[in-house]
Amino acid sequence: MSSLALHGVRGGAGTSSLLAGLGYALHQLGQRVLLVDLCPENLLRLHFNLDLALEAGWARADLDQRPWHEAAYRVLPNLHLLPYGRVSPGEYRSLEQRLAQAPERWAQRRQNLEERFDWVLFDLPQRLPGHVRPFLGHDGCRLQLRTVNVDPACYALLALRGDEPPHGERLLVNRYDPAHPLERDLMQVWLDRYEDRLVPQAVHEDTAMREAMAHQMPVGHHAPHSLAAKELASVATWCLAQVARRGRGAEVQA
Amino acid sequence: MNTPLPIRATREDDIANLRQSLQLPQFNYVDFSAHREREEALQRWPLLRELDRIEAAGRAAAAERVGA
Repeated sequence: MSSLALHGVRGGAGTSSLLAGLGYALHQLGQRVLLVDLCPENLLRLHFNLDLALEAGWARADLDQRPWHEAAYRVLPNLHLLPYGRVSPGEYRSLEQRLAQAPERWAQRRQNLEERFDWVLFDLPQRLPGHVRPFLGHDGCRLQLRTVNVDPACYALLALRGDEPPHGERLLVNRYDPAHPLERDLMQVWLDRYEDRLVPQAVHEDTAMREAMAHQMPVGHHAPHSLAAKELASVATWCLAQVARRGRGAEVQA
Repeated sequence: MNTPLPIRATREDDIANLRQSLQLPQFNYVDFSAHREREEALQRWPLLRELDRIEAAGRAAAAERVGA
């Protein structure tokens, strides 16, 4: 029914762990959820206790000309995961070219998946525009979030991008640590500069996020009372409210 | 160690509710304290100051394009 794209402003911003936690939080709210890994690093599966030796995933299936949807795993009832699969650098570069030439392929798949789940969440990679394009912009996912850490590099990437941010793109702050004066100051600047773009719930620095991955679980499952798990539950509620609000807006317009 | 992020939207909702309950006309709310804190923060970190200047110039140019 709804789709969400999560895309780091830079690599290493914690996007995959956030996506795993957010998907789990939506599932806890009674939603039917599918998580899709679009990153060749194929790390999202590490949060869901999949056998590390498994090679299957949608990209592996595409390259082997097998049905991509058969590579999905059921993690819990109504919580599914579609990994990227084990793919060599040469293979994912060739896949990137194919996806760039046929953006409608994933646009169609996204539409099909949205009919089967309440939420389909996509973990988007860095520097692979062909992988990313079907999920962003006007015809992209219903919610489009950029993961940012409160550091000067992320601010530089946001301020120096040279074009206007896509309409509707929101910034989801991850690993915020207000004990650091620089982060506190930068957040003050962002609350002013990006007031209308920030998701109103930041996710604070919390070792439970890293420990959850080390336990091969999403944070809400590993440490349900942790700060990060509670904040992700708030972000999940915000996602539901956003979609409900937009739905009502569409009804009014109709 | 971790304190909740101040959520500005909540405060603005309060102001919007107050305005509605008192049947006040539309007015622009200016948070001088937040503005001062932001200026002080920018003074402490040269790169943030420079990036903020670039952001402001970009926004002004975008507003001009919309107005044109």
